[in-house]
Amino acid sequence: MDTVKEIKKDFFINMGPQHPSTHGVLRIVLNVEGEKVLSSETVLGYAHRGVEKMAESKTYIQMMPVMDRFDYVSSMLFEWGYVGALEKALGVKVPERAEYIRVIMGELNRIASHLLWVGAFLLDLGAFTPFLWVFDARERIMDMFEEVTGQRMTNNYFRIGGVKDDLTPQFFKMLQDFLKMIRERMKDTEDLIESIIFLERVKDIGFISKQDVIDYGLTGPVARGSGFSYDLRKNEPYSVYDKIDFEIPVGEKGDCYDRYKVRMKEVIQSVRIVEQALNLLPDGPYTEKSPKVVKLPEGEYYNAVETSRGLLGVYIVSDGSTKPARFKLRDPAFSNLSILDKLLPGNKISDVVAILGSIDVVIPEIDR
Amino acid sequence: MEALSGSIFFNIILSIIGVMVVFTINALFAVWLERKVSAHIQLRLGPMEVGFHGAIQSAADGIKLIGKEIITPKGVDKKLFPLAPYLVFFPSLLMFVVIPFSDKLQVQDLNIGLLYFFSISCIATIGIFMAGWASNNKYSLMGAVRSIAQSIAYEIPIILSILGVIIIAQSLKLSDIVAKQNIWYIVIQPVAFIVYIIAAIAELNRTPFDIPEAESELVAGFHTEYSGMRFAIFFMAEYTNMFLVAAMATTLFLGGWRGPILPPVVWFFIKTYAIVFLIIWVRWAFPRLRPDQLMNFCWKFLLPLALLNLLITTFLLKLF
Amino acid sequence: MKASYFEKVKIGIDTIVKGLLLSFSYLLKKPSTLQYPHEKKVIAERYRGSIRLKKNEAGELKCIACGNCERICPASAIKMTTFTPEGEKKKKLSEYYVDLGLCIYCGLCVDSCPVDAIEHSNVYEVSEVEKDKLVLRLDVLGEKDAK
Repeated sequence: MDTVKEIKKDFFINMGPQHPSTHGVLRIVLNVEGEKVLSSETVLGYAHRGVEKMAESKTYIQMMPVMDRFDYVSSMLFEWGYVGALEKALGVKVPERAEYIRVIMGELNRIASHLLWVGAFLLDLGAFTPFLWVFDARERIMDMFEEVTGQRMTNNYFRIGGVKDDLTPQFFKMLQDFLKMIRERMKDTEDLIESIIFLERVKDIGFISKQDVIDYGLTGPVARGSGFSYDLRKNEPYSVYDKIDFEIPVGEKGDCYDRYKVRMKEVIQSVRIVEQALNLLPDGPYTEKSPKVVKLPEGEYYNAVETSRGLLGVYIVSDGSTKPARFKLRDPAFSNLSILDKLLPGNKISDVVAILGSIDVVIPEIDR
Repeated sequence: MEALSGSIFFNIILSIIGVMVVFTINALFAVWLERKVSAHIQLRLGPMEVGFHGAIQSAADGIKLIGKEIITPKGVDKKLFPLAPYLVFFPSLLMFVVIPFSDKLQVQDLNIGLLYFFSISCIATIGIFMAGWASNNKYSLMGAVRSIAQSIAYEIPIILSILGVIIIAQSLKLSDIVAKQNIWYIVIQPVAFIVYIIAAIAELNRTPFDIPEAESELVAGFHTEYSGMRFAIFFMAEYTNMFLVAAMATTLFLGGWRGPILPPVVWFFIKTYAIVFLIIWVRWAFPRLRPDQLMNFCWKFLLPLALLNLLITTFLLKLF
Repeated sequence: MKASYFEKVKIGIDTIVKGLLLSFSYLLKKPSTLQYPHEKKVIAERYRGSIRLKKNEAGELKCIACGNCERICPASAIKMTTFTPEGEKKKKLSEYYVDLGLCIYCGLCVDSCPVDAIEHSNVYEVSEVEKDKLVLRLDVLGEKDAK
């Protein structure tokens, strides 16, 4: 024996693209030593469809159903961002009733998205039951969407100058039932979730400082979990959010638990918004007469809305034709995911799923 | 017939048949029970199609698994890979030997029944590590390593918790322990019972202690690469172990087969499945722990608790 | 989690007992499962199922073969061929294809129709074993219970 090979202690683990807890086709290459993560590399692009390029060959109206297919769990909020940009460009005034309908549907969609997240997050941590408890509630939202928009997930409901259809009497009945049960269900779910095991798993894990929030451009519950109170609905109120009273929940420390808590509180705030919007809902037309052929005047247009994951910016460059010359999204999950590689090193493999889950990513939105 | 019944040979045949029947029916029933309980906790209905409320669904699943192709992936250890499932499975059959189903229904009433039971149960860990090592898969290996660490850690609190019972009963013979339980030992030894149940759930690799097969982290842990009947064997071993652990809890803490009116065997199964229900119930209520927290919990909480319980038990026993 | 040993034990016992009781209370609740093939959900009026062509009272297709739906379809799922009968000025449909394998059920074709001749039915069970069967033609599209 002249040379003894140096024993390599670390090895690589491919988490994804086929893995139960990467929520689709995200791939994380982990360099681990035993259970400890030394470094990580996030690999994207497995669901890349080139949608931004595709938009250049689609008319403005044809692009509308595609907007549903970025973030399929809060699709109407994405429609809102896009339709808002078109309305800004065309100078269309949206009727008041349509604005309130948009707020109601948008907030219901936010609730649905957060409920799905809570379930999936707990599934990552190994608890199956909360997933189905919140899905029972989410199913009622889906039924309401089916009643009003005609589809459960990819709704294609927003139109330039309003919405596609008015709310139905059946919808109001369903909504009342839902509002009655949701608070109790959220309380039950929260009580079940917050056992000592859950607290141990998520508290003091994956700290994001306020400086990180600014450096990485984080938005949404991830930023608010770190105490960075930035919500477009409050900071730059669009639609009728300035007439509605609601709070922006913020966390203190910026760990996984704070991000979880912020989302749970946001659900309750969204319920409050829906209740108020329901009382304020005026009579009137639900949509403005919109042109059959949409041609944007030459120029650049930008609109931002607060989706369930954070700030969505829609940027359109028009050359005056029926198709955009350039289409760009600034989507929340992509920016939020960028901090993952900074958070993972030093944690255990079990924490990887907790941290990734707490960031809340939707892959089609990231890969586009 | 009379001449035959006395012979050892006849006893062995009868025992094997009996054990296999209990084993099969339990595996089918426990899987069904788990699916039903979990479904109803989660506002679902669970299996409903095959048989009354899906009663023979597990049998149908078993037949499906038997019919599946047995896949041996590239690069696995050709000898150890097929062997591992059986090494996990046979200890659980052997453990049936000492379980007293009733005053007469027991395969062999060993003097060291308890010791035998817990020593045999350790063998399965080797099988699990074998499966993880032979699979040539990093996830499997990590699952196996976690499993070893967990088994070693949790066997100590289990033994310590039953030591309290042994001291009171003054015997390792299971029939003696049952016979001496005029008051159920759960009343005298409640702490030991709790420690036993927690440690047993950990031994069974079930949530909240299912880190070796943590689905969201390690895909399926040590049996990631197994499919078809080999997977089914792992699966059946898991549910058999659950029954055995519950049966042992019944024998040690709930007075075994003793009970009024109903025949002893019925009492035994009622009590055992009550414990099985408890184990299932815990699984569907909580998330899973992290490996290091699992170790912390064992060494810093369960072990001191079990030791304290043992100390107080011996002290009080000396006093009175 | 940062807390002293005994605090943790206390929180642990509290939350574990609470969780167990809560999950047991749900065990007794009514399940919300729908036994799908046996009982079917009431589909909403506006549900966007598979495409169907409407007929007028005389039993003829309302379609005027303008081609709006074909042009607006984002997934290019609709194809139509037309002809002009001799002595008439208006175009007529000779064949109309809807490929449900491509259709994204967005409803833009229904919106764009000037004479309200196309609609979404409430049929949602559209799966087929063969891919060819997903392409609907004129003979199926006009039927009431069309796929």
